[in-house]
This record gives sequence, structure tokens and C-alpha cells, in this order.
Amino acid sequence: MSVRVLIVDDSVVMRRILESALRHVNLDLAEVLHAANGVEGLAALEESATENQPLNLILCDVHMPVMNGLDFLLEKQRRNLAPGVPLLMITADATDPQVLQAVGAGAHGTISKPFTLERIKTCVESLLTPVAPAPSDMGDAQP
Amino acid sequence: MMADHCTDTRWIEQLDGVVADVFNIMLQQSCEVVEDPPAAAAEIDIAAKILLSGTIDAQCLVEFPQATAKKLTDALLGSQDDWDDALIEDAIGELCNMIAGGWKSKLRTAASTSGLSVPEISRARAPDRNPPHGCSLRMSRTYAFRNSPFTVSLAIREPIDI
Repeated sequence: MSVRVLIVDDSVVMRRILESALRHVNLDLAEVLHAANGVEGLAALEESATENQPLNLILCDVHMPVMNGLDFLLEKQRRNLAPGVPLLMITADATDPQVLQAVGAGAHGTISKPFTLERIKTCVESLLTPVAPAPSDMGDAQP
Repeated sequence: MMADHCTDTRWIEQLDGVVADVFNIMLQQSCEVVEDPPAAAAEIDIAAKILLSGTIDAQCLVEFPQATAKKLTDALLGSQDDWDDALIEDAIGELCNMIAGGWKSKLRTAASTSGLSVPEISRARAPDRNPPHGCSLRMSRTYAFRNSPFTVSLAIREPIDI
């Protein structure tokens, strides 16, 4: 299975770290798209839909300028972009109210920073297997 | 040991633990507390500040000499390069974010009603260390990463349960 991933994070460093982590997971990683905020993330989703290049996974930061992760998720749903594509919230603060709202609104789980490669691997592989677990099973666990 | 005001070892050990966790988990590298830091440790080229607001009011400030900031960026990105200033500042901001978030998550006080700000980066040698009004509990700790120092300071408005 060839996989396309979108990483939405205002930190260039964190996007690079996440991409590097994904490349250590046993995936056939076809493409990793980067977006620096929710607006850029939505544009990437629109473009993927227009070009009929579906995504398989979205990793999204919570606190970002221009448009945060929660608003990105809600707007993505409102526009029906990438329906059914698993979305993981990346956060340094799993108790953040916006993280809890995002999970309640349909995010498939959270990954807390700092994280291990093993944590990324476990989450991603679980979400990309043919039978994905229920969202309630993907709550964050300490690495 | 360097603690400006707070001498409660519970707070200090908690901060040390959070900083150690960030380095151990994210970088698989150790980070030691520097007891009685030398004057050179006080040199600051880059600082990042994050505010917590809500049920918990606090400020987390990390301060780095350029050389330590470069080493941290190398470690986070897994390679050595001539990183531009923006990328190094980004790395320091991320570190501050992880420390502030990790610290918050260990508190007993209802953390879910407090939020973290985005990191505010300062290049000044004397960054604004003034915490938000009412943050009377303060501590500052110096650590060494790959033998290079950096400082983490917390200012907290009491009462708060550790």
C-alpha cells in the first residue's frame, strides 16, 4: 500500500521530525505533504481532491497561527474534505481543551510530544491497517 | 542548585524530571542538572517563552547560548548542518513547548481548563523575564546538554497543586 501523508504544523522542525519518524515506519511512503497552518492544510486537501490523489493519513498540530488544528478539523469536516482519512492531533499538552474538543469532534487520537519512534509506529500502523480501531482505542498513551 | 525563590524540592524535582523526559524520549540523550552553574551559563542568545493561562497561570522560559541551541537543533533533526537562525529558533520554541506541556500535564490542578500560548522567541541578550502578574512562585534551573548549558525558568501563580 502506497501511502500519502499530510503534516500540518507551524514548526518546520517538528514537520521534519515527524516526516523522519514516518520514514522509519514500515510504510511505502509515496509522498509527505507539509502545511504550516490549517489554511494551508485545507488547501492541500483541496488540491489532493482535485488531482484525485487521496491521502491516507493526516498529522496535525493543535496550536498554530492563522488557523489552529481544531478549526482545521472542523472546517475539513464542513467541506467534506478527505472524509474517513485518519487524523492524529500532535500536541505537547494532551490535557489541552482544544485537543479534547478535537478528539470529541472526530480526530482519531493524539500523539503527545515528546514521542518515541515506537509511539509513532504503533499509532500509524494501527490506523493504516484495513480494520482501523475505534477512535476511543486511540487515546494517547505515554511513550 | 539554582533556584531563585522556590526552595520546595517537589517543584524543582518535577521540573528536572520533565526536562529529563523531553531529552530522553525525544532525543534519546541525557541532560544533566548543573549545580552552581558558571557565569558562562548565564550567556543568552535565544530565549523562548510560553504562557499558561486559565485555571493555571504560569510562564515557562527557556534561555540558550547560541552554541547550545545549535547542538539541540542538530540533535532534534538528526544531523549536523549550518542551520539558519529561523530553524534554530523554531527548535528552541519546540523544546519550550514540550517542557511547558509536560510540566502542565503533571499538575493536579485542573489542567484541562488552561491553555498554552505559542512560543514567543526573543533574540535579545536580556529577554523579558517578567512573569505575568501574580506569579510569585519562581524557580530557575540550569542544565547541560552535550556539555553545553541552558536554563529553564518557571513562574507560577499560586495556589496550585503539584
